[in-house]
Amino acid sequence: MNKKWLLYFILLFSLFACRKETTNWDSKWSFPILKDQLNLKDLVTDSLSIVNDTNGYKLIYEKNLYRLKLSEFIKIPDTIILSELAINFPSLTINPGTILSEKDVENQLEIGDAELKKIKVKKGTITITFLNPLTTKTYYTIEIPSFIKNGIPVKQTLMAEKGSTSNPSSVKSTLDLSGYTVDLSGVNNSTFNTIVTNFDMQLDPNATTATKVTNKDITRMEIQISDIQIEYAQGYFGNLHIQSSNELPVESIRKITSGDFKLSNAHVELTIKNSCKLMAKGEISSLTSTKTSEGSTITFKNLQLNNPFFIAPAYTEGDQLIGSDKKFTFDENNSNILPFIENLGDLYKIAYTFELNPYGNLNGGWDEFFPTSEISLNLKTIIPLNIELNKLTFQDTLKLDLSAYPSSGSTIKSGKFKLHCESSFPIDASVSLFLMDDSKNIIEKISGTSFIAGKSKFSNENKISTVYFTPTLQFFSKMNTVRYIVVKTTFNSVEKSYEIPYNGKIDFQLSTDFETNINY
Amino acid sequence: MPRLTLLLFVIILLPISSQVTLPQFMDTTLLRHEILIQGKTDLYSSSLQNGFSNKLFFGGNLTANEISNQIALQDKHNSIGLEANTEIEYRNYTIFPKKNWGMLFKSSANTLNSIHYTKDLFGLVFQGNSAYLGHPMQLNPSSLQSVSYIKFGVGFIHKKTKSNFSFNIFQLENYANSCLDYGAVYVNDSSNLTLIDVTGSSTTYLPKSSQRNIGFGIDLDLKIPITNFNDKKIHLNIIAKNFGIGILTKDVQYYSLDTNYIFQGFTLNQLGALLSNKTSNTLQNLKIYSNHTIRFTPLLGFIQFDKLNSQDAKTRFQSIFGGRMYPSISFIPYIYAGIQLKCTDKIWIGIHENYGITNTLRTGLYVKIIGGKFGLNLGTENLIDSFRSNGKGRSFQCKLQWHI
Repeated sequence: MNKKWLLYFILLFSLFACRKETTNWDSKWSFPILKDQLNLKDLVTDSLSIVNDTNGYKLIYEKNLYRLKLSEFIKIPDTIILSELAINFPSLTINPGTILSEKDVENQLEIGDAELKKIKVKKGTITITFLNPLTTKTYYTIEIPSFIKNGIPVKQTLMAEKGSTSNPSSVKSTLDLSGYTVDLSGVNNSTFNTIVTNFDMQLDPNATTATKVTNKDITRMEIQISDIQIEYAQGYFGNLHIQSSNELPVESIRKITSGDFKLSNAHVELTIKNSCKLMAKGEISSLTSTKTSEGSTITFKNLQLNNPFFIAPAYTEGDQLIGSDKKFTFDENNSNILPFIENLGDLYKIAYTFELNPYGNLNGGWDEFFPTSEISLNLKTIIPLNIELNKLTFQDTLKLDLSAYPSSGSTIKSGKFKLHCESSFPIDASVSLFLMDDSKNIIEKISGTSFIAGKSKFSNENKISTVYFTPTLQFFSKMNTVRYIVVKTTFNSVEKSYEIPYNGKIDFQLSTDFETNINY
Repeated sequence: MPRLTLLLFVIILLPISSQVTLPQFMDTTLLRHEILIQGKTDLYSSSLQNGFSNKLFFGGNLTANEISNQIALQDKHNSIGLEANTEIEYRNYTIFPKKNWGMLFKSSANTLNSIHYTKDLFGLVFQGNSAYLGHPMQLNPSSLQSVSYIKFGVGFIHKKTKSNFSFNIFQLENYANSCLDYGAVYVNDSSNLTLIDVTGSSTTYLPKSSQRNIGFGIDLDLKIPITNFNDKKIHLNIIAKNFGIGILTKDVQYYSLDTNYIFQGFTLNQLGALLSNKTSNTLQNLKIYSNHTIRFTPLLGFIQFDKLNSQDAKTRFQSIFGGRMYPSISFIPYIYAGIQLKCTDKIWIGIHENYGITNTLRTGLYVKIIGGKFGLNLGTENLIDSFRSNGKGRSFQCKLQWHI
């Protein structure tokens, strides 16, 4: 009997636990998703700007291609200066407190071709070490009159405990050189790359007995100069050759997959600026535009390329440093600038050489550079907003992870997106969306029912368009596999030779209507 | 006999069924052991028809036509509830032979759900907002209270009067307490403008692991003798059940919102941030705040009183009455009154009118059969609606007693 009751309960609870079918119903929803405005100002980034001059609005693209800081080339290498001091007699007994000196010792720095007279140290250290072989306590004083800060030279007095010839005692001190001015012109201000040192050693004045010293007892002084960064230098910087090239990828152009555009009156300015007080010679050897997707390259042609030019030294007026510059202007009259830009290359390459002091030390060692000094190469592209677009197609891939969307249960059955636009741009645009899975296989292509119409120059009214995007019903069942969305937009000018208005804008609003199946 | 018993169980308990309101007899017989199995399902609605609510709660496709018909039937303010339980209880009167008290052990599964809603909220849920474009939707006052739990109890029972009390531990399966104090939504005809003005709060507990929150409580069942208007002694059965505290320590999410928002669409930058999951401030911008603090919540206990009739009464007719109320939930107190007919020495039938819960008058019916060591109660609190597809609610109750 008891077993039968148990069976009844099991059966009953199993009946409670299951429900024959799920509850489900359909409902329809409408919501706004996006509302925004795009205008030319949205294109303005750090390197882009729009200006208005007497000839209309122009798009300006500015980019620094190269910047040469002389401090990267004029360097004080890490250096160790060694000095030794010993008596000239085989043996000598020296009384306590006796002072031995070595004055105005000139130490030469190895700085290559440069002949520096003065530098100012931005960062760096100096480490002084003494090795004492004497059998008495000894006081060492080092003075470096070349290193001056606030009018005071480096001067250190260190005490070394008694040592021996075979096992000298040592004493060490490190000093931060930041902000020090270094006079490298020697004792008589007549040389260069030279550090002057003065050195005293005094035997312990409080010792009770004299110290026996032999010519084998060599006192050693080591000055180690490390990690010097220069913020100012004066002297002759040498004849310096710099040959280099730069690559300038333009990612936004890589998103253009087809079509073309026509420009008028575009021109490019290349400016070389010199804010160092030295003569420089330069040469732009090549400028190319490459369309990497096709491997096609266009070489910029202009008579001024491959011709050396000179850049005058900067000069000072009072406390102000006045730089000099050399500007090249390329337009459709003196170059192939229009086809060069219209090639829509996404990788630009420029090769150039610079030579500092091409004729040697002409100014008697008065080259100078300051913290702000540099030699730079700058590009400026000026494009009038009179651009004719011909099926110019941008394609951009964005991450769109819809893995959180449920694959079963409550899901979207159908739906569409409505894009309502009001445009004052003279450009038509058609938009297609490609939804892709993890392997970038296309799951769904959704094209707009029409294009977004641009405003005609013959109309005072902005153009209003309504475009619908309707995914297939099958798409909603695999929505959770979407990982990327490719937005492909094709632009066409409404009319030729119609300037894009500076205050042009497109107002758009995206809303959705969809039907869900609630299922639980 | 076993087959008949099984059939009765299936019929009675299949729809799942809380404390029954089946009238009981005052039984002072000294018993050795007793097993009670009882179940109840009470689906009640102010405006929703059975055909629809059946599908809603027990499965099925709700067609657009059915939804439209139900929307037409909705009042401005509506309510729907589902209360169900099954309970098994074992009473041992011999465990303390020299005492007047025995022990009881019981276990039950319970769910109690109550939703108050507006007609517009109903339409929004079942039709979506497309049908309301250009029309403001009034969503308040609306609330949802729901709790499901399994209960285990142990207690003591008076051998003669059967008065008893038990200490219970509750394993909470889910919990929700949400209230929309104010809610209005408007989407214009072109669906490019949404106005949302909502104030409310919600506490939910949906377990994400096998670990459950628990609660503690007591049940009390007292048989109290009183004198009626005719100076006759009768007994009242006072029941206080499921009174206690639920301790929500894990998987609890509390939201409060006070938002007045005009939404015309995200900007491109906002959408970019959303797609990049940089949305930490989005909820706060919408004035929706959440936290996971530990919460104590009262269990949805109730107090019930019933008149206890005498099995040995000489008269064929006896009055029946009683009532029930849920102090912690916004139900209208339930009361009933009627008459019981003694058909034979083993069969009684009772009929009563009851009011409450849904603010409507309902007719209840029960039958009680006693056979040897078995007693069986079958009944409904809503006789008319329970068997009609266009009725508004169903109620089934049963109770089986087996004593040795």
